[in-house]
Amino acid sequence: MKVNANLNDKVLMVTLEGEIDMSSSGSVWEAIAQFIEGKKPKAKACVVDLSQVSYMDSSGIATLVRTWQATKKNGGKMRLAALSAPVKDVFELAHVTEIFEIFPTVETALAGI
Amino acid sequence: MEGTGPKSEKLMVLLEVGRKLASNMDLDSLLELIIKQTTQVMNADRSSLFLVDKKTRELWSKIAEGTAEIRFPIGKGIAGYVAQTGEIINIPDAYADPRFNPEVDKKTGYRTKTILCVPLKTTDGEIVGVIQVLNKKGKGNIFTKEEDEAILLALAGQAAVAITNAIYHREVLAKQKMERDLQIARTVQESFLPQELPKKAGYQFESFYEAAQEVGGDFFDFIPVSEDHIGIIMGDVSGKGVPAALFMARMMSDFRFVSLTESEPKNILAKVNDMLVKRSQRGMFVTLVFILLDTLKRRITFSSAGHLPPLLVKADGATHRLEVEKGIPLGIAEGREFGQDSVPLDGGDAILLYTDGLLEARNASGKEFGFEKIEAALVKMAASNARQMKAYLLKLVTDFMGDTPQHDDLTFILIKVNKEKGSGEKITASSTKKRGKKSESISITVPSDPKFLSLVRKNVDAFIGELGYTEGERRKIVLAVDEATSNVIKYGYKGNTDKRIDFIIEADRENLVFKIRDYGATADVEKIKPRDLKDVRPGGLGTHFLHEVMDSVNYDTSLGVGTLLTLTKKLPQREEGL
Repeated sequence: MKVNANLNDKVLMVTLEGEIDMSSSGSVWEAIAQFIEGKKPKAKACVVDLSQVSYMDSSGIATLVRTWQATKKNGGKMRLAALSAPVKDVFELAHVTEIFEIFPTVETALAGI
Repeated sequence: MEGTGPKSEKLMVLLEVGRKLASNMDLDSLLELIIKQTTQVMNADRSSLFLVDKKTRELWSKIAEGTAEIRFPIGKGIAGYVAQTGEIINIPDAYADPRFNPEVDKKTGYRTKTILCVPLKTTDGEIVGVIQVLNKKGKGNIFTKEEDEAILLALAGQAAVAITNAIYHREVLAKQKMERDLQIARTVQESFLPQELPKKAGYQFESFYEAAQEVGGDFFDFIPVSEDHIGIIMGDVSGKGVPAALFMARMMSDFRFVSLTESEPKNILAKVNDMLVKRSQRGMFVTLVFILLDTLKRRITFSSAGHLPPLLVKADGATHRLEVEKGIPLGIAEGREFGQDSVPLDGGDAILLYTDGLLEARNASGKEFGFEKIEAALVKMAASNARQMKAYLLKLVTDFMGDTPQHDDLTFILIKVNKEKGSGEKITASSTKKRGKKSESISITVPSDPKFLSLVRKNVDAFIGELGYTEGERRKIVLAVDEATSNVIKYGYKGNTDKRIDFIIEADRENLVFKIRDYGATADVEKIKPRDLKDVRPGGLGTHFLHEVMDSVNYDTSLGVGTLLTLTKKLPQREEGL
């Protein structure tokens, strides 16, 4: 699993790659949390690119939910982009598709955030 | 019968008595019958019967009419004289005869007048006893030579044969009972001894048990206390036979039961001791040693109830007798405390548990095998594996004993700690595949470390790949197993990463079944119910996935330790017959 988090003009761009399970979701959260937690977070909005995720379990969803809650708390936004087939499956099972703002591509997600 | 009838009539009675006697195999009632019939047939006032006790050279009688059991040496008194010589004595006036002893009359107040005493001779001529009749009733009040002596002799002959048969019968019965008892005892005992040795990476276990002709009370057991603790018991019950075997069997289940709640060996001994005393089997007690082996930390904690100390042989050849204080045998006194000690183990160490059957094995000249020989054998074999140590020790003790019969059970356990700590210690991931005609299965074992989740997923995906599920279904099934495994790590093992998780995955014609076994905290089924879907909190979501993906989810927490989770998913419908 690889996680890449880049801050660009108060928008955090997160790219996840590989398998996200109990052994890796902790480091995903650590990589994101430093930008979105606290009273004055560095990032106001967050876009997560899920196109390269080959596997995600409930701990991955829990991490995304946490991210969403943290940004929302600070009046920010979180958008998910380009869900891979395994991610779509687990989102359906978890019934979280309606909760998140989901965009077909990173570009559309970034537009107007 | 009144008075003396014709001789032929008496002979008829005699034949009848003979038949009755021959059909009576119970010695006590036979003797009673002989006395009763003799008194009647002889028209006497009283009869007494004495049997020869060959061992003590005495005559004895349980039932002399009107008296208690009597014993006196052969040769003494009239009966003693008859038993010694085989002669017939017929005394018309007892008080005028110097051989008569009036002491008995004085004690009982009876007045002996006439006596007729004949030996009980078998057909081989062996005298097995004497019978005497007193105070002839009716005509002349005297026992006649031609009639009374002849009849009593005939009667005595029949009685002797009947008595010999009854004694023989009694001995056969006693022997059969003893053999049956021994067989039962052996069966009970052996059925309670462990049929398999524990399997634990990093350790070798060996045991030996050979019952003596007359079963002693040796026993041993391996108790899986937890995933990385094994309780090892070696002991000796005081009694023999069926009661001892049953006592032992019950006690062994006591140990297993108490070990579920108590983890300190000294407390386990104290509890089982109180249970045994309360059950109060008179005269039954047991010496034993209990070793708790922590396979992870490589340490033993041990306690003893008056048993011989286990021997610890270090890899460098140093030997230690593992002695603890305060050990009295179990089952004697309530509320006792037991000592306890603990020692670390190193790779290459070996521990021997044994009973006195090994220590006191004797050779032809009565010499005992002894500590020194055992210790020397273990030191010599310190670098060998457990199986080789066992073989060497056995050869040494059997060579020592030679042809001397084994007088006690020979029992011992050997535990050997492997040198390689790393590989022996850690649970390593492994998988085994089986393919039957109607089903296919795979067993996987992994440490409870999230790092291995990916490996579990790969195995599951590979296994279900050929079963006809769609790609989406496959992903969901893999996800469900992953979630179940994550739950085991999080809740069953509370995040400990060095525990063990076993999987069995099977597919038959209809179902795909996952069995996931852990040995940690028992799953609280109430807590792991699927969450309410509107609640988007993290956690609990995994359990929801299980129920969503699988057709059935079943938790079994009745196994003593840990949980067995069974997940079942129907196989995809095949278009058969088209």
